[in-house]
Amino acid sequence: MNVVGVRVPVLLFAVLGGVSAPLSAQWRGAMALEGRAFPGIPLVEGARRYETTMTFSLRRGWNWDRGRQSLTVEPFVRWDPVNAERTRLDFRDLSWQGRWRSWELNAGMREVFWGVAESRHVVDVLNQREFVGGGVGYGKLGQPMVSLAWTRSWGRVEVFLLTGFRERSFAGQAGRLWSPLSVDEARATYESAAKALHLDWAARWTHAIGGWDIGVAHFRGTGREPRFFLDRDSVGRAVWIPHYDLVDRTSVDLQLTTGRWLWKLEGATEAAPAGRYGTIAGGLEYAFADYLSVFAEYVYDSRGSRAATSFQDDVFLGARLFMQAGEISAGAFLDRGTGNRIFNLRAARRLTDAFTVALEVQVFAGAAGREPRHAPRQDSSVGLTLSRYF
Amino acid sequence: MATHRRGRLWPLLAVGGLSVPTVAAAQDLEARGYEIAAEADRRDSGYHDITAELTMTLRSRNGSEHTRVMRIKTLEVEEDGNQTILVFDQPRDLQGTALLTVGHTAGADDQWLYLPALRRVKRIASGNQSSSFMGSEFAYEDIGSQELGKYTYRFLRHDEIDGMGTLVVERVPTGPNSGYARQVVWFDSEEYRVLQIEYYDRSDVLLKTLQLRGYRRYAEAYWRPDEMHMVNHRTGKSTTLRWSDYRFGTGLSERDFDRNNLSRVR
Repeated sequence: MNVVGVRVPVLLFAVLGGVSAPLSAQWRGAMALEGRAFPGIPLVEGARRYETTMTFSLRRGWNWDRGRQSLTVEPFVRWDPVNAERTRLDFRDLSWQGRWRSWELNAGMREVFWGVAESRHVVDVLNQREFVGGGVGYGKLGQPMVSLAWTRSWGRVEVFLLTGFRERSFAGQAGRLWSPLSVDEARATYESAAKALHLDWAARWTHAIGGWDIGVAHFRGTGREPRFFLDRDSVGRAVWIPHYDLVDRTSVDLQLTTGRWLWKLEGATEAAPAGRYGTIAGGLEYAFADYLSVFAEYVYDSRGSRAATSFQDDVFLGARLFMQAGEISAGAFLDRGTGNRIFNLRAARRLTDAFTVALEVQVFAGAAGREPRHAPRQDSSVGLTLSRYF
Repeated sequence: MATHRRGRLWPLLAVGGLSVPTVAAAQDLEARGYEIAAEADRRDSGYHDITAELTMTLRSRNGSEHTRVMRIKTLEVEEDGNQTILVFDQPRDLQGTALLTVGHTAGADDQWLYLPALRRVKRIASGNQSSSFMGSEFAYEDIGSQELGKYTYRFLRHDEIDGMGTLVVERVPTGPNSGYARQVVWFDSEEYRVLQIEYYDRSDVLLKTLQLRGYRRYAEAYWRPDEMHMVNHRTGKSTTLRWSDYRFGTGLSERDFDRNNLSRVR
């Protein structure tokens, strides 16, 4: 096995993880070492069957003006000693907030979550997502934005202005979890002449009334999800070129909480140059107790096989169990069209107050042919993560 | 308010030994039980808001322990249940996880959970007040706001705990969702602090005993225990809550209990 790829991160974790001096009380931090193995035959020649990742994150907040203003800083570093395309320095949060009476103003780089469903997040559109996998806090990229919110008895209205669009990142040829063809991010094209500097906007109204949580939102700007066009690179190999359209996306998310039953629905419709389409995720959760829930949801995308995701006509079943020493969650997607199935299992155990270990297994099982665009779900993997919290 | 004024007299009568049981006793005992509970409630109202630190230690029958450390903020809400935020400090992998409870005097409370790793706020099911609070021996109804109307009362007897004179009151939950047939509460007869509670399950078997110790007076008005110790007689498990850094009337408002800002609670 590659010496740099494994030993250096392990050594680094051992040294830093052993540091017992606590950080200054206001700083919080986490460090994780993850090993992931891919038992299946790679889609691409040269793809690794094993990868090691280290992630670090720190967080601190400052309050002043009698708590009306605050600054939050949360840098995040992911390091893959072998694959530079998976290495990233980012800010999950680097933002200022002011709150006066019923007004709230936020400015900076933030992660924002919208929605209620467990299986897919179809209304959650502000942050770009990445396709490189692995580690604490993976999944989203920080997004520069300014937002103004107004809270009244009839709910909260928040208006967002966003710029500095970030392209979706992919793990590259040497990474796993993508497609037989690599994605040439450097040649990405945009519908907007301003490219990544296009000024996007969004507005969202949310309200909680009785057992209902309601959200209605509209987004206008460069869509976070690219379309892909086939092209050739300089030596004549086929590559995917991402293209980012300007889209109008309107969404609704609803949750009804009645005793142990939680009903959830997210729906979005998007107008883009390629036509209008709709997507839905929803279903129900049953909470046996606050530590044990089961889920059943349905995921639909009207683009069908043209969707950039294979979760276009799938049933999702899942369960989550919290214990004193850790938690276990499991889920299964069953594709009604192709019969493909994907299973996820995550089991985390607390070793001490500061250390946890987690096992993550993803298994793809399907008789139907591989769907190249949907490769992320088609690679089985087993990952083990050791985390140290400060 | 009239009931409150009478409430102060009842214990004087009790201490004076004038409360001889009579034929009309049943109704008297109920009224008296209510007066004692109302007096305790009156003495514990009007603090507006509290912040504190809480260390929760869960102990199994064989002695293994789990510890949780959290910060707690409570806002008194007139005409409705209190609002509470719990923010976890330990175990450290849960750091920043926050639980917002909007209490209601009638009906189930509303609860939202903030998960920092996902920046996600989720409404969670909170229908079951008899279920365990975070795996401890405390049920949600044991730690939730003890509104007067949640029980009917009956005065039982005088007793002593650690040399302190006490008034023993039985209370029966009025709601259909309680896990208890009844509870027996020991109030000290000087300050109306709760010193002990026995919880009887639906088949009227003694299930748990709670002891509250180390009372201190804060803001020159409010008594709070340093330690609450709950033993489950059926399972042999126990939970200890240790309170510290109590602050009363820090000027919190509903804006500090905003589900959209749980990520910035400190």
